[in-house]
Amino acid sequence: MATVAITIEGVPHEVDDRRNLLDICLSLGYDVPYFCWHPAMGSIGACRQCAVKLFWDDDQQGEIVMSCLTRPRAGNRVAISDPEALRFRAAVIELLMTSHPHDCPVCDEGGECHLQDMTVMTGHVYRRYAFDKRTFENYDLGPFVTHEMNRCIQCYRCLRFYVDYAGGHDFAAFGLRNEVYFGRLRDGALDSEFSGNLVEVCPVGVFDDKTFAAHYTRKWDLQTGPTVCPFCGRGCNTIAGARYGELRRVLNRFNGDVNGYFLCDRGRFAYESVNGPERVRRPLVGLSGLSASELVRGLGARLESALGERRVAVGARPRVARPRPVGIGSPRASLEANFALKRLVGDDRFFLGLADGEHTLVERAVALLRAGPSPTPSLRDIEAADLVIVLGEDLTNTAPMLDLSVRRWARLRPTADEERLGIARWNDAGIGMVKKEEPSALWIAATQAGKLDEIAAETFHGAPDDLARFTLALVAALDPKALRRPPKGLNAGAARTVARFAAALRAAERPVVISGVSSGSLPLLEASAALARALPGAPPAGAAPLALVVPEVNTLGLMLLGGERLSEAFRLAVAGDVEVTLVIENDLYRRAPAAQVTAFLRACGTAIVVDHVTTATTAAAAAVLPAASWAETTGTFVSHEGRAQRSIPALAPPRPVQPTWRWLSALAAAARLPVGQDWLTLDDVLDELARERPDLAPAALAAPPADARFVAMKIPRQPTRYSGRTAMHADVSVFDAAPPDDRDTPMSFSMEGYREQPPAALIARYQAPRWNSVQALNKFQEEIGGPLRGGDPGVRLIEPPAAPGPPPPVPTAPPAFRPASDRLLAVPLHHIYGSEELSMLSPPVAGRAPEPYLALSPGDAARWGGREGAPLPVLLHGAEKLHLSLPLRIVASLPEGVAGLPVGLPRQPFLDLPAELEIDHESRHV
Amino acid sequence: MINNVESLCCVAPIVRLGAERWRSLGLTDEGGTRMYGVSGRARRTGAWELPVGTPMRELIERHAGGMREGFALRAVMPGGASTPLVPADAIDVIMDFDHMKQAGYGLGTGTALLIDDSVCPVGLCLNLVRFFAQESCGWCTPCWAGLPWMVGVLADIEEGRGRPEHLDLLAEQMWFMGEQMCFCDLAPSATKALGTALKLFRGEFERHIEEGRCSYRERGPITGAGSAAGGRPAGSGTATGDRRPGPGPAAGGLPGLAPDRVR
Ligand code: SF4
Ligand code: SF4
Ligand code: SF4
Ligand code: FES
Repeated sequence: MATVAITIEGVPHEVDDRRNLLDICLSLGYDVPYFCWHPAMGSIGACRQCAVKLFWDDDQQGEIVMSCLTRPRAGNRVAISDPEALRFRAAVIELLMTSHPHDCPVCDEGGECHLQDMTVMTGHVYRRYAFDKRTFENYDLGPFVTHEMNRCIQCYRCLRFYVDYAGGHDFAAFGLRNEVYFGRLRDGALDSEFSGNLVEVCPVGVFDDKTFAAHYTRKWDLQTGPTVCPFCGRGCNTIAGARYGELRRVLNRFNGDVNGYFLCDRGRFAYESVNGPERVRRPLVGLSGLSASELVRGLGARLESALGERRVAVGARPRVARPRPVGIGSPRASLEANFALKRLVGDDRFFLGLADGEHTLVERAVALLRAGPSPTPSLRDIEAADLVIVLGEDLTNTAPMLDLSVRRWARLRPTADEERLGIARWNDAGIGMVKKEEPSALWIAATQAGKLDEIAAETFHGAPDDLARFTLALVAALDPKALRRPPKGLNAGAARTVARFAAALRAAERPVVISGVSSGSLPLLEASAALARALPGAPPAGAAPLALVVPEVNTLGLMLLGGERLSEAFRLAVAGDVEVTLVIENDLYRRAPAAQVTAFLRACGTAIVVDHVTTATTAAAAAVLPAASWAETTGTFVSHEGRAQRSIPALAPPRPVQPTWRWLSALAAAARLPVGQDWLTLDDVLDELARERPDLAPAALAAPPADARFVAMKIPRQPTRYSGRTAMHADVSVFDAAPPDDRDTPMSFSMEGYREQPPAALIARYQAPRWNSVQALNKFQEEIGGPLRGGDPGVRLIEPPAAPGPPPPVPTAPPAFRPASDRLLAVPLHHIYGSEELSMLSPPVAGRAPEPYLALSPGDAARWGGREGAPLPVLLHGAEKLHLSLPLRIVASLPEGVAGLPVGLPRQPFLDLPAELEIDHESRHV
Repeated sequence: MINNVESLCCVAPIVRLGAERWRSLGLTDEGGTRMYGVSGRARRTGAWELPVGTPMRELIERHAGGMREGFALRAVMPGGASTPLVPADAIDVIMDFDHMKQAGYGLGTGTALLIDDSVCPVGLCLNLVRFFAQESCGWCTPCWAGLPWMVGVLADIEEGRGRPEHLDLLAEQMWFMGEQMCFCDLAPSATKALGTALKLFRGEFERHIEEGRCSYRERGPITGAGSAAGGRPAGSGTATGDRRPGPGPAAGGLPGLAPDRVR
């Protein structure tokens, strides 16, 4: 990079000549209108909206240039407000408006429309075009995204995002001249898992959020909060918006280390459970109509008597075991809620509430990450990689935004060619051309084909144990001394594949390894870490970054907190050692075989469940306390990256709903327990966490504390133009109610407060003077594409140790997978729409989910006489034997002897996978 | 890379004659020969291989035999639809790349189209701009949105609905389609002929607007220009009734590509 001296609007600046003038001007805070340029997708020079006047040296005439296509040169003078440039930019708007319907009042983009903003900014007001407008008819693009092509201004952003960056195949620009049509070939749901980004990428109202349209509210009427997506372990940052106590939509919240400018469709469209009929809104107890406080008093008394023994025998374990309470935590509950429960029931009576297999894997994953030397890559680290290898994860379905991040990396990854050819990073067409000529640097090993395979250099498919062997063979190829016994018996084809993978890995300077727990294979997890250790990485780690995918929003936080296995709780209960059971935000039927859970719930004394949705577990509970949903509660969640992030709600929970930790504190008080009595705000819980667990203390720093004030004010969740506040509840009471108090954050549920830019963790909407659309984000960043002012939010709780300990022993390879003659190995298959619990309570998402099925390779399908779509009865030998009859799906990429079963789908029992499976001939013939 | 037939055709004689000899065939520094053509109301329209640098007058008067009886030359479109017009009194210009450029025209294809006094300059420009509007790829705004607007304005003038401010509007659009302003050369080229026509024949444009009619039309059908003027800007669909650009009966497959969509 070189820094060059230029002037902009007469003001001297030192600027980076690798950036373009538009980026530079916006980064410096100047307003330059634009459409086709996108901060995450570079420049293409189509719209001509970003024109400025450029003067070279002592030239007085200057020339109009497109700022998005122009590199600064020393001595340049840039005039944004030059009269000719102004006239040109107004002319662009006038032209874009020639066919525009101007239907702002009925357009969902209205009030947050980039075209509106740019029109006002350029000053075009008077329409001179007097001819017919071109019109289009629209397609039904499925449940997520609307289509109104008449509003299109032909900026090509949608096409570039959907096809070039997200890898979609069912979208194109059809036609030419002023009639380019952006969309699908026919009606049908957009196939890409990232289609929702069109809503934000499109600068006008062509693509809007269809779920939002169903309960539409203008942006200025939305009360918003900086939330963390609760739907997978990636922890993308979101902005949730609410009105009338209902959650209305979710938008991206920029975090350069996590999700950048985008979200996946699960994250964006799966919010309906907050409003849905499954919501628990009041305490549920048998038949009685107890009030919340009566119930808490009653439950407290139960708890107190159950704890009686413990209180007398402070410190010492009572010799005669007396039944005691247990607490079962949850990977979808916050760190604070889990910690509160752990305090309440005691360390030895706190159970993580993970499926046993998952418990083992996540425990190991945390140990591997903690031991280092590999750090977990942030999004920025991935973007800087020169090779990515994915092991056993179907990222599209297990951590969708990692899929998109890898795709964007694959398109933009820095390479020598572009340096040599002098192609700027922002030159989208140029970079695209270079990348087309370059071999892919993405390598994948997985049980079956995934969507990312199409951009991979090569994919290896195998049973989980074979993936582990394959990975260890790579380790051995990289470092012949690393393994005492390198895996043998890879067939010739696999050996050649290993050689090709190894050659690529050997040449890499900045490789990144992505693996995880989704395949259910411990050997693969270990082998992945060994591979990362064998690869080069930046000092001080010296090993390649290793990303380990875990399934839920706080799986990692829960494991960091630590607790016992769920099966241990079952054992205690059945042994008669449990008196009262507290379950928070967890449906145990998703964690263990139904028979075991039912037996447990029968034997566990009084089962008290705190949750925000009804589940099979709440149905079996003695009492259910209504928890605040993720959109109503403040909490810290630890992503798979080990990043603690604070989710701050968009709306206040309606009474008597409250955050889980508050219920627990109330129960403790009613039980006269010396726990949680000083927890007045979330910060008190975090303080106690920091005292008890210094290793988790940084979690408190994920956002400013509740008592932080900004010029003595809180940060308002409502925009200045928020309307109807005094009238919106007039049907209930004509008195003007005070806005709900937020004791847990420095944000308020009102319009009043600090109006300047808040700290990064407290950004609840992107809006700035003259910028009302999501594009206002530019104003919140230190520079375009760069971190938010003050740094992207989130605190890493796991960093590799400064002085790495002795290297862990390299795992030994499991034996090669040999399919038994009468059995198959069933492995879990994950679905972005289907495998996650809460998202499936959103009808638009549920509508995209598959019905349960059984996947077999063509060979096995032929062998077992299965036909595509025809039900095949099977017997699964998991923790319990399970008879299933599932329609067959033939999956060409599945290895012989391996069957796939989708996990997590509703209306399907808990599947303990991987497990052996046999075709159930008996029931087949009855 | 050379990929046009005209250039490739030069290879054989260059090899046969040698570079020096071939170069000496030309009348100016540029050397060699070229295909020149004449169309329009000349006595003998056709194409001739002539030394590069042949004056336009020689091309028209000697090779094409001058104008047909009863027609007077008013201007020449020297090298295709994207070249500025050469007024009749400037045809002494030498036809090589450099001279044409110096004089503010452009050699282009070297196939001159003669514009005589029976041709309505407005209709001619309408025809040209409509052609470019239809050819626009749809990438940059001045082109895809500006050209259809100009087509509409020109059609209005041609059909008697012109207004005085239309001439300023056209001038403005032409400024807007300047070379720096567009992504490629199509839009800047699209208005080259119109730009000179507005200077050479400004009176004609004004007369159309004042009289609210095209006086050429009453003389009978006009060759080459205006005949397809439907009064609708190129690329405009119907304003009423949503028409799906997709696979309808007329579309033959791809959305947006329906041949009947542009009237
Ligand atoms: S896209 Fe923007 S300018 Fe167009 S109708 Fe919608 S709100 Fe109005
Ligand atoms: S649909 Fe939207 S994003 Fe796509 S080209 Fe049109 S205006 Fe741009
Ligand atoms: S990738 Fe995960 S965290 Fe990110 S938006 Fe999707 S579901 Fe939410
Ligand atoms: S933003 Fe520069 S041409 Fe579109």
